[in-house]
Amino acid sequence: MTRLCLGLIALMLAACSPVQQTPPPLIPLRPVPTPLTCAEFFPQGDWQYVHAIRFQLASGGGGSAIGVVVLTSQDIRCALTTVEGLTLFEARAKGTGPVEIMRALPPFDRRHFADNLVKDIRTLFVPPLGLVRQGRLADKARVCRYETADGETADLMETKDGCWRLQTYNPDPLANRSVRAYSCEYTSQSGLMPSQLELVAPGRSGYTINMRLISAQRLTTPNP
Amino acid sequence: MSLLRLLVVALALVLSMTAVAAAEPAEAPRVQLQSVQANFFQEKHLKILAQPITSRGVFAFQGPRSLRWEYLYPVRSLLLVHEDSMKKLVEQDGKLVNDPGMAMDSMHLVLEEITNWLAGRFNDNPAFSASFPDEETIVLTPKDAGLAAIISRIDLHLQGREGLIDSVIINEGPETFTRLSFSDAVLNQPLPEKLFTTP
Repeated sequence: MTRLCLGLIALMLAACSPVQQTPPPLIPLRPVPTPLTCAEFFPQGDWQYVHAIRFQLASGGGGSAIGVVVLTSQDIRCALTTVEGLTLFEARAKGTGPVEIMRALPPFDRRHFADNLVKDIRTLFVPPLGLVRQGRLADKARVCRYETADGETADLMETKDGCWRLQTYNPDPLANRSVRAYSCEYTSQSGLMPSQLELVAPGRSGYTINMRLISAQRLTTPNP
Repeated sequence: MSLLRLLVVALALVLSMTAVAAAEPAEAPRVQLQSVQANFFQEKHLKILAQPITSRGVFAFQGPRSLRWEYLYPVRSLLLVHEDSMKKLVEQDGKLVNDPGMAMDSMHLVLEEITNWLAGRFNDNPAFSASFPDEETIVLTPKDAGLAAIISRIDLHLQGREGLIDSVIINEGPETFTRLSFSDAVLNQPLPEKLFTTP
């Protein structure tokens, strides 16, 4: 439990990446025989996900937790509990708006933790912001590249196993994230749903989060 | 009270209350329990959840100070207490590995709680006040306001006058609670020591 607390506190700390990363050159796809449907890499509709979470800190610590994410067209809701069921954190955020903390036990009651947690959830489950264009990287991987006016870039790439990976590039390198999805299944209702996700925040204060899907439930009625 | 100690207190309460004899209202139950083994089913309810998170596992207790609390699904984890040793393990990559987050200083608290409850000393609990509104219900209320902000109350429901604990509800706040249900309990059978020392 102590390590869990320390570990999650450490998640609040941004990763220290001394060198700003820039996106690799994007080779345009011309012609485009089978264009990527970029949005289908992410959940379609309203969903409730429960994951077993294991995190490891770059500094050596780690721990386990249960994570809940509820995605609707109106908002994102999330919770962290211990494996035994004690609720550590519960919050919601509408659109790209501020995070409303509904329950947070110390030390998870800090605004910075809530903001970063929801930001990571958006990275994992919501298409990136910005204009999207498609292309191919030097390693032949097809990519959906999202770019914002603020200089943020997110490359969403197909992988050979039918899944995807994501790399973000930010003016502030502390905010960069790498995501790899594994064991994906595609349905028209769910989009491409991975059974496992790995999120990496680089740097000496970085962390790796591994998420194993326990349950995925399509929400057909509004959740209050 | 740290989160760790709180968690251990709650777990100890559940473990130690799983088999008690019913009593007259407003009176602490009398207990003669040497050991108990049972399955448990856990539902975690949150306001944001369309359906609760379910867990299941097994546990064993043997007086005076041995217990094993094991989640089998969805995340396998194991708490072992025996004499002066205590350890927690969680599954990683298919293997149970030590979780050093379980501080050893909580050991005394666990044993104290178990001893008190099995002896029927409900009102000796430093963290909770106990009340007995009827023959089938025991209500635990935090004495400290800080603890009450984390666990508002614990309800223990008995199966009957001479029965076992049927369920435990740990209330954390509005629409946020954990319900534990027990089944297939075996009482007062001698249990091997390795059950409490070996994963």
